Amino acid sequence: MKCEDIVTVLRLAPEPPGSELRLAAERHAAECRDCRRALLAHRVLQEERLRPVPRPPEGALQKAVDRAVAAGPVRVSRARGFWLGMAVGGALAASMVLAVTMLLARVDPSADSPVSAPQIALAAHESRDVSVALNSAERLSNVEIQVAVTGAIALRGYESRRELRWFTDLERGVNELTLPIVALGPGSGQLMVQVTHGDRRRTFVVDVHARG
Amino acid sequence: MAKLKVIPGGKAAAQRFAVLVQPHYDVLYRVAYRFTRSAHDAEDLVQEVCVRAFPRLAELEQLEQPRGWLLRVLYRLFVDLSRRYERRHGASLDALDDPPLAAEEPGPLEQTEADQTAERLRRAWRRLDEEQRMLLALHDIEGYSLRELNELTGLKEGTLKSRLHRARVRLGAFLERETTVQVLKARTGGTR
Repeated sequence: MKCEDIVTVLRLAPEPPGSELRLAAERHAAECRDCRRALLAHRVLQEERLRPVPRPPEGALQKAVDRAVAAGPVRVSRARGFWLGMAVGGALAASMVLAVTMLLARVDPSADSPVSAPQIALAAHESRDVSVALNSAERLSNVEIQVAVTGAIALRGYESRRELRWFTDLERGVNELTLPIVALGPGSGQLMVQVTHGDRRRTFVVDVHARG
Repeated sequence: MAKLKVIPGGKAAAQRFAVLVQPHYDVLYRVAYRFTRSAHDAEDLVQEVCVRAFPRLAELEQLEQPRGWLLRVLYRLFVDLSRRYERRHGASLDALDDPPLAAEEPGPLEQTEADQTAERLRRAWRRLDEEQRMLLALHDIEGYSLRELNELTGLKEGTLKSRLHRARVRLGAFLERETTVQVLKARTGGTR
């Protein structure tokens, strides 16, 4: 009889007293220190099984959900090269907070070109909040917001991710989206924000240059 | 101006996530408690599972039984966090198990036998490795079958049986040692 069967034969699926298998197991256990230890452990764990487990504290589930939501976005598969190579150009903007109004337009190849491509200069490892104003003529629910970064920048708090995507509601009027960007080192990068509602979409690109 | 925070997911996703996790929360907490033997650590561990699960909400919603996935994450996190703790503190959790001075705890005579057994188990438990704790907690305490453990861990049933046996032997050895320590403490008036 194998040692690993002893607990099963004597405890988990006990053979009837006096049965050949049980007697063999008892003889084995009497001579095998490891099996006696295994039986002791099993007995103590059976006692433990009867001891009550504390109930989760009041509100523990909500706390866990809140923490999960605050910690990270709903992950979606990354569309590689999704926005790289888009035409960039336009006004320069290098203030601490950049506010750009985006009016949602119906999706077609011309309307989906970037709204603007301002540039921001940072020192290496500097972080800065970039605010984007999303102007909506009406209240919109289930609007998809996609934020992507490339190159030498990242979103503070999400350094390991190059893309975030989530759904939210937009209020009528201006909705402010603040993105904390950080320069990972010297070099260039781009920040892209894309807002999609049904067949309407707007894309906004910022060039970021981090000095060495 | 309405403020949109960079907290992706929004209300709708949070609600969906709560609906998904709610039926499994108590089980996760219970298993986490069995692993850690601490209510506080169990709550933290389950929160961490939720943090890992939320980004995969859409995938989890496709599963018929997300509990298996959640339990697997719970186990892996338990292993990771235990090891990280040991690395950071340069010692295993065993260091926490040094018995307090006699004056700080009731002597053996003041404890019920069940309490003494639970205390011995608490000390011995921390000397097991994470996989042994997981196997014993789920199989011997919570009553999960070998098949369920196979689904959770990916280990073959034969492997599970032999690892369960080794875990019991090890726990039994530590329990014997703890019993000896208690007897010696009783004889020497609580000093060690």
